[in-house]
Amino acid sequence: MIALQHILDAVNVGGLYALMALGIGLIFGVMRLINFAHGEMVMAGGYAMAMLSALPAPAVIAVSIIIVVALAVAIERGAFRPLRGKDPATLLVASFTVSYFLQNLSVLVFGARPLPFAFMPGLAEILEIGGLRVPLLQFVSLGLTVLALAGLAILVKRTTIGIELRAAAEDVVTAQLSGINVNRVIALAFVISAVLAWVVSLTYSAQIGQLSPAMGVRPLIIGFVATILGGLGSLPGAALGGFLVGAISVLLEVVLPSETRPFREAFLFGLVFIILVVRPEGIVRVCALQERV
Amino acid sequence: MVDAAAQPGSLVAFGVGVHFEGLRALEAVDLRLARGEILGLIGPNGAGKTTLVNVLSGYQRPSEGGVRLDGLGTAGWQPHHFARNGLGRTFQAARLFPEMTVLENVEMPGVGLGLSRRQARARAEALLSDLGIIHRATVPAQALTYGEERLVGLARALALTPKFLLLDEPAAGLSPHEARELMQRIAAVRERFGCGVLLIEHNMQVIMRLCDRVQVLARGKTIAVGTPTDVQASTEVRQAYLGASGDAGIAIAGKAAAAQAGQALLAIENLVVDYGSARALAGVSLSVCKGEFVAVIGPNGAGKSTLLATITGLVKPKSGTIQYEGRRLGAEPPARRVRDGIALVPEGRRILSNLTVEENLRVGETVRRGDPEAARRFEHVLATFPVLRSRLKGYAGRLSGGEQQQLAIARALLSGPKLLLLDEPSLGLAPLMIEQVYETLVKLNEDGLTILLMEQNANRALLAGDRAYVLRHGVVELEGPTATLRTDPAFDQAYFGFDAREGIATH
Amino acid sequence: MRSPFRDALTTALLLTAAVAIVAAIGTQLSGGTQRIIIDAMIKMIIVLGMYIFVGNSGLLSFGHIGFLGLGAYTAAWLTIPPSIKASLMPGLPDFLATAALHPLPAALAGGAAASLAALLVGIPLTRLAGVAASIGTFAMLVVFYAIFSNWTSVTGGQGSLYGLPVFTSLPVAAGFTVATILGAAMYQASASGFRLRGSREDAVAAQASGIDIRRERLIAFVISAFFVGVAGALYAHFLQVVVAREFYLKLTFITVAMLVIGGMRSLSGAVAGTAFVAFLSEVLRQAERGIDLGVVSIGGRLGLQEVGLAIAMLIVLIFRPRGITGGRELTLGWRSR
Repeated sequence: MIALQHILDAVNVGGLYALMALGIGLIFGVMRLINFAHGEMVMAGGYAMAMLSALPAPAVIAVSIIIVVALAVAIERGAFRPLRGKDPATLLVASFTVSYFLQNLSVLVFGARPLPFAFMPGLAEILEIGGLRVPLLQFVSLGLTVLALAGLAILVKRTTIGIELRAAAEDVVTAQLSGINVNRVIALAFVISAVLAWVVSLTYSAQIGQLSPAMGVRPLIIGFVATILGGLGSLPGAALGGFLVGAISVLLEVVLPSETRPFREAFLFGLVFIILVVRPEGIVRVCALQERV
Repeated sequence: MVDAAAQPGSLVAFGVGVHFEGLRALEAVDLRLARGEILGLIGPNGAGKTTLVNVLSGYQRPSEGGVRLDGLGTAGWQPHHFARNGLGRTFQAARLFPEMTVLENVEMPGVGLGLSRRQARARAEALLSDLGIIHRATVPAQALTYGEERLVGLARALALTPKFLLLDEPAAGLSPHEARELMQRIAAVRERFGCGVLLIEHNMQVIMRLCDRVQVLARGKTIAVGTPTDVQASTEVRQAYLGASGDAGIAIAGKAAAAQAGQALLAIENLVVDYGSARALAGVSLSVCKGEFVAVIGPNGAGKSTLLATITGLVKPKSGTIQYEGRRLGAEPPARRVRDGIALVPEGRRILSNLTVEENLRVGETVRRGDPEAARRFEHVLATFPVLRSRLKGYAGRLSGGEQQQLAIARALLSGPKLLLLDEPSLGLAPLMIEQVYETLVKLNEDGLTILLMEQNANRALLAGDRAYVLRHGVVELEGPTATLRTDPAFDQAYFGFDAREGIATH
Repeated sequence: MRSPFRDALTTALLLTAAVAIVAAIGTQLSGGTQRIIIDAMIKMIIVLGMYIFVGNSGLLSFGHIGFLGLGAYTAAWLTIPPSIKASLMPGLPDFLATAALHPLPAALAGGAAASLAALLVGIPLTRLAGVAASIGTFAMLVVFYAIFSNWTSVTGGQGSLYGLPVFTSLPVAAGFTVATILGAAMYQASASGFRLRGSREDAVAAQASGIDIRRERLIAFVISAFFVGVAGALYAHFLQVVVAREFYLKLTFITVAMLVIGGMRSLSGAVAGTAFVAFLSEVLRQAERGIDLGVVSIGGRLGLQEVGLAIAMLIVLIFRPRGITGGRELTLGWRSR
């Protein structure tokens, strides 16, 4: 029974990380940009839902998605597009800067103190299924995650725009020479990653029950681990990495003696470090990223 | 088989094989360079010359075989170990330290060897004086002219006081005058340092004049070793460069001569393109009429890929005009030009290997999406390349080289082009595959498609095309109907550039 | 032909003169203003320390604030009176629990501890290049932070360590800043620094010149960590408290911003960037408290300082990606480098 509970936890947490990793991985694929600001999309989604909570639930959902998407597109146009083609270090610093900017903009607008997250309080209800006590939230987030993952898989695998997205991620010049509008594809990648971030913001905000300007940092950091674990540039790798990190962190929770549990993060990042050094290409290797001398 | 035992005084590669993801870049290559000797390494594009130099200098670990440097085994060495043991090299792109001055560039190897900065600087100054560029010592490397860059690159390699010197196309892009000067310098270097020089070069004139011996690579294997005159006389070598000749396998299409008189689909006037300080195209003019099959033939570095990049809008010309369908092309992005009917089959094919064959084809259809003709065109293309039909769901990266080339052509055709551009479609393909690709092209042309083709494989291109241009050093050296060029004695001179008068290659 | 050392020394002396003038004027100003100057000088030591690695190797580091924290905690372990230590940090080993050093040797020990950590981390890290190296340093920062904020019996965890003696006065800060400028200039002119810059300009060509890139990167990483570790100790003796949350993303952002805005490829850039950002932050901080324009008074807003800094940073990245100095050095004739 306990094992089942742990597995459920691992899948749940892993799903969240997978969504984060996919959001980061999508942008990296088309732009070779490691988007630190992805965590702030999550934060923005949380605040948007909280601010709109007077509206009926479907309206809150629709409008908050629109806000997060608009923010992502604005960032792409305002900060990342002018820097496209610059060296990766510059892009990295830029995304770090955008992240810092948004966090502090949120301090400026909403204040530094945490706000309660009260959207759909019914999610906290606890269901009893065959001796397992599971919060409704877990089911909802599991459902949403599955939906988002399936939606993304269909979009990327089955639709024309998905093919264009993968084409641009593999070889921008060939994509251009085939008549693909690379600007549009990159904008689209930001839109999709914003929607994924929104899903995370709903489930993550409900889980921690409050909003703060820096709330996106933790999921971002763990999403990072997952992306690198799975191999930068590979979407299946990112998803796999997310679930793997979920499993590892639940495992660490169970296995580690209680006094070392707070160091989970240290272990996780120690892992990132080791992966980077030993197998920088991650679990899933992407040929397109191999550098030539 | 070269003896793998210790051989002081020489740089030896034995049984070197290099495999990249199933592709064999080098196979069982032996090479021996003695001190005091100049060895030429030649071969057509894609033969594996640079890969071999990378193996000899530690940048590429061989999958088989190994390298002995002055009698020492080099297993587990990194490039800096090779350098510290007396191996100097230059690179195809000069790879200077761009923000450092010329003096600092040439000072670097001394410091790398462990000299103090003062000693290294003194040595660098002496070297720059010797080479006659001391007056440029305080200039940052990024401000140098192309010719100066090459010279500083050589100076930097010499600052290691190498026992062996590997020069990767030192004369590429130089004017005949500069190339001559460089030759004298290389000869002098051998005298002064007594080092062995390995010279990769496309300029046959340089090879013939300088080298004691020449080794010829083709498709990753050594096909000839010998004195320059022997190698020049070898029919095998000529075939490797120019492609099989006298192959009457296909009848040259008795195509309606209507094309010749027709209006120009593409007209290029006096096109000049620079890459940084290097001039890639120096005033190229050419035209392609509707329905015509035109080949541009030239050795590596002639400017063929640059020409295509400019036509497709990836590169902006410095001056000159490109007219397409009677309209002057300006700042239209590549995607727009594809929509207007210009499609490119790029060098090295550039298929999207993480996508399936079908997805690659769908990418090719991008600009014709929603076109009522699309489905019919798709069927037609699959009928032209039946092998693709059976592989539609497979990943494109799994296809063989020849299949990938067909996929690349199919992808370009799906954009419904009026003008099909191809960049060395025969590169790296087996002879039978080359034949098949050319047959397809000839057939497409007979069906009315206009084709502009860039080739090193001159004989094959001359068999297929209506007209041809010979491009060398960014200049059109010769043009005419292919039927005439095939027998024109001026052709060899224009292509290889080894000509007594030396005037042919002037800019 | 001028010697490389003379050039470096000229630059260092000009920058030193600037620091000395600011310090001299500072001593005449109010205590509050002096604290602002000291804070800026400590940041300058951090940024110069980072510059030794980042500027010469071309690899961006997000991890140096971890070394800063290590320096600060080392100072706390060595200088807080044993009686306080016993209650704040019961888990300290004996030799630390009983230590009561003067802040100066403690600062040097902080630097040494950071260097040792850099050596251990650097051996694997220097295998990485480009963005992978930057992400590696970021991972290092997260690990350091997780340890600082959770190893409660040794670091006080989320709480603060207090009881550090006062040490970092304006003259002390200025003295260390000058020493760091000279150290960074000497390294830059040294054979090792020169080789590392070669690898920054073109790694492939540097190897062909006989340069062992990993070794040079490691040397710079260790030296660079030393100065940042010392800065950490000075910072601890300036604030007189050590709190884990100080040593994380915010300070990382500010110091990276200082380096990038100034121009991360020159010593003068590191100094100019620090001065510029410190000044800008101070102006924004004043604005944050609220501006009274008589008729309208704009209420103070928390976060204004950070938002303004981020905007300045983005503007520099987009319009002047090589920073305000453009990577040039301050010399008697403004010379390109």
